[in-house]
Amino acid sequence: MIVVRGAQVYDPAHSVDGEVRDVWVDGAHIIPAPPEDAVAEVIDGRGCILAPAAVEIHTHVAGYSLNAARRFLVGDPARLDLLAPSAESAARRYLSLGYTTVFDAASSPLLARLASNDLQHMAGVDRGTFTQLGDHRLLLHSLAKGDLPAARDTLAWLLQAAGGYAVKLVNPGGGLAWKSGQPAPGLDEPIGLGELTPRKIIATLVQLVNEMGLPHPVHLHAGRLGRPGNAASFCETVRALKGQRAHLCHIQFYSYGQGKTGGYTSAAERVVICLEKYPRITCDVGLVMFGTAIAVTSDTPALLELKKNTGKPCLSLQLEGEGGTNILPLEYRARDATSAVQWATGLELLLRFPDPMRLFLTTDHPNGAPFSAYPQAIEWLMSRPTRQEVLARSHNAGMNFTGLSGIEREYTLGEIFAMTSWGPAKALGLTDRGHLAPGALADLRCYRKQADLKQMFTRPAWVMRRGRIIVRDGEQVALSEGSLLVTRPAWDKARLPRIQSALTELISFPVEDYALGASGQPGAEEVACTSMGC
Amino acid sequence: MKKETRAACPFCNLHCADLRLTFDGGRLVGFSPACSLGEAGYRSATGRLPAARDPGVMRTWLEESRQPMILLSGEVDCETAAAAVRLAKCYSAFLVCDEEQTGLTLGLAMQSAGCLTGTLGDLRGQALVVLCGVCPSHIPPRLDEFIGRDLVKDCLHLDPANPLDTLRRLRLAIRGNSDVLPPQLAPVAARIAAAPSGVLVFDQNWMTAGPLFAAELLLWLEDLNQQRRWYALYLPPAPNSIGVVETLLAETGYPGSLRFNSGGIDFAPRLWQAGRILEQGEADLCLLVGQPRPFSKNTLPALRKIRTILLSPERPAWRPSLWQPAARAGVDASGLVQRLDGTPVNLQALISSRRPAMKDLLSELVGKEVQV
Repeated sequence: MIVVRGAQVYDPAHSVDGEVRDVWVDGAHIIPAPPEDAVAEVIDGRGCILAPAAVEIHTHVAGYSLNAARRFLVGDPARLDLLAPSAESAARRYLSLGYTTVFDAASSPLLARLASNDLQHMAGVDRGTFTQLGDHRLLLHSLAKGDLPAARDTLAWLLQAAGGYAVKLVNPGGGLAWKSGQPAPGLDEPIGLGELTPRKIIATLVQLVNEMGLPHPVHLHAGRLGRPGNAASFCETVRALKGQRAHLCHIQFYSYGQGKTGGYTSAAERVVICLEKYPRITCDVGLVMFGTAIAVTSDTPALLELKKNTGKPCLSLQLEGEGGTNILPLEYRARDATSAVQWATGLELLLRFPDPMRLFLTTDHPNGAPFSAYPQAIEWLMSRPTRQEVLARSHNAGMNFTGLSGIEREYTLGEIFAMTSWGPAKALGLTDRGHLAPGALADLRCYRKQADLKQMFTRPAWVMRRGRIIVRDGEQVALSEGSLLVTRPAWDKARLPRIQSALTELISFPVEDYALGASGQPGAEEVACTSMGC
Repeated sequence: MKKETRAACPFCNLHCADLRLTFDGGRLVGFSPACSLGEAGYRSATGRLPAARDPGVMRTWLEESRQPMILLSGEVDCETAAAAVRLAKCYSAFLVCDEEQTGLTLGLAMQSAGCLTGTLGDLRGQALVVLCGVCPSHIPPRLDEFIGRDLVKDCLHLDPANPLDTLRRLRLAIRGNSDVLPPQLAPVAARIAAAPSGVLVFDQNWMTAGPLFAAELLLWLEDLNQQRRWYALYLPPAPNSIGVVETLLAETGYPGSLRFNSGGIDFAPRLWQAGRILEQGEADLCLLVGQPRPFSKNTLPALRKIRTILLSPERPAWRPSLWQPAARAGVDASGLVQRLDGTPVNLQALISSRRPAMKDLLSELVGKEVQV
């Protein structure tokens, strides 16, 4: 038994906001305070801040696309290390920042073995991956035919076959349209499969996933990513969800207006007003930070648009039966108008959005910035002067075309912990973590109080996983296994022969070997599908 | 008793996973669909298998070595490549890879020009296939079936005496400057211009000309893609060239040419190539994981001066100090490989043998726990 004594405790799930109290741990779980004569190892928490460990809801650290990114970064060790460390290193760094649960945001069924391999190497953290199905022909054909039972079973089978935790949709139907030579379809434009439109795909799959009770709802990367003026279509996408439970990722990249000369402006306020109306929708922000980044995405139309605009080389692999995976190196510069607007828009979204339980801190690593930049982002959120100072020395578009300069709000510590612990844990359906109620997992982070917030969040005093301290002063001091989290929704197995027969037409090898094949995801921990999504 | 098994083939970079093999008492008696390379590979690999040796000598030699070098071949599976990385870390060894030059050349070309490629299922049905200097012996026997056309008769062969110049001229012609085109290339340019989609297929034959050349090829692809949809397909030299390089990238961030030390990893692509390390006498032990490509006449004498350990399923044509017979993934061991288009394929053990898998041998050699 362990007791952390005298720390200032934050548990936003239970409205505990900096009270000095003791936290008791027995084995892997938080427990209520035992009788006074209980014998326990005491950890002195005086002068420290104690909170549940952080949960990463959207990052790219595993699978083929990361290796493709590494090809672009060979010869530049500093960038390589920052943007595309090995899966093992990424897990270690997340731990050292206080994260004990990490979700990779997109893996393809076809290349599932590569993602699985990387996930196996991410010891120390609980981890999982979202399976990208927004361009899967098998699924889209079922939807085009209006055969919802077939779509539901196909979706469940694909998720299981690929060892995924949740369903990811990336610009649904956009990759398929691109392959057939069409321009990226708008929300209500056909994608080339009868009358099927992105709106129909999104609305139907969100509903199906919620009916199946997956712990995490559809994780949606909408269309028109990164384009000026895209806030209007994004808000239309939000409305297309009809108030259903869903998660919208890296919304900063969809919160743009368009100036008179065609340049980027912030539409953060409009997006926040729109999202506020739908309490069952959660989001992550996808902050852009000044510095180096690399675009890693399945959104082929968006990336080729970016390539056209930046003139930079892009690596694209198109996958049979699915969309593609694409890489393009980036540099966000403070003196560049677009970068300045993007940087300010991300912060503006976070500062305007009232509920930190619904909008979470991410950088869409490595698209907006490396995840190692989180402490810097937290400092900007908690300190207006520090962000104003950056705003003042960046391109004046950041000042003139966004609302950041006029925002007085500074995040409290409680809000920071809400947006990095309980908020994402709840959105992922992992209600066993991210809070400190008795019975919760004893995954904790402890910081020494100091004025330098960036420094404080960069180097926790210690990080505990399942009741054991595994990181001390930023260094890993103990090994920890961590679980590979998957979901296996129920489906009608009698449909398997029909699914496999249809898939045979789309792929160039035997269907028995598709995705993870017979081996499945060894050692995975299944998170139950419940009625939470309904 | 006859037994039919479904299998994925380890003998070329297509890794056809639709094979039906029939064994009778461990002897291959049936093979379909037809593939001369695969059938010969299985017949040879399932013949008389040599017994394993005690790996104790290998450990002793590694421990005695002042500076070991591990040379990784493109024929081993991904887990073996990952185990080789762990071993190199453990013994502060050089880690070089037969495939790294191609990987680097292609990587540098991609960095400067980008690349659009697709998996084989997506390449089927493209209007035109252009074989760019491809050596016919590098075309996997069943690639026709995947691409959906007869690659010998039904595609454009481009193999000029001066390929770099030809590529440049063709590229300019596609941009609309046909004045630069010699008359003999005009029909080629016209055929390419008329095709709404296509695939440029190339192999190491042209890659060896260096990154500028590779970049030119990819720039050509880029120009073709301004209006239409063209893909590139690289035919790597060894069965798992792609998987080995991808594994090294995933494990270390680099495609090879590495030296591990207590401070981390050093990467020096020009400096740390197998031939140079051996000829300069920088390594006193060479552990060859899988059959390496033939050594040059300068390298072979240098190799003979030091201890050499070869882990390989087959008896080598040259004589290493120690040959440790090892199981082959897809025959008597399992293993993950990557097809030439990057698609991962799981190879299963079809027969049992007393030969250890290379990944197990290497893991055993690590001996001590890698520190966190």
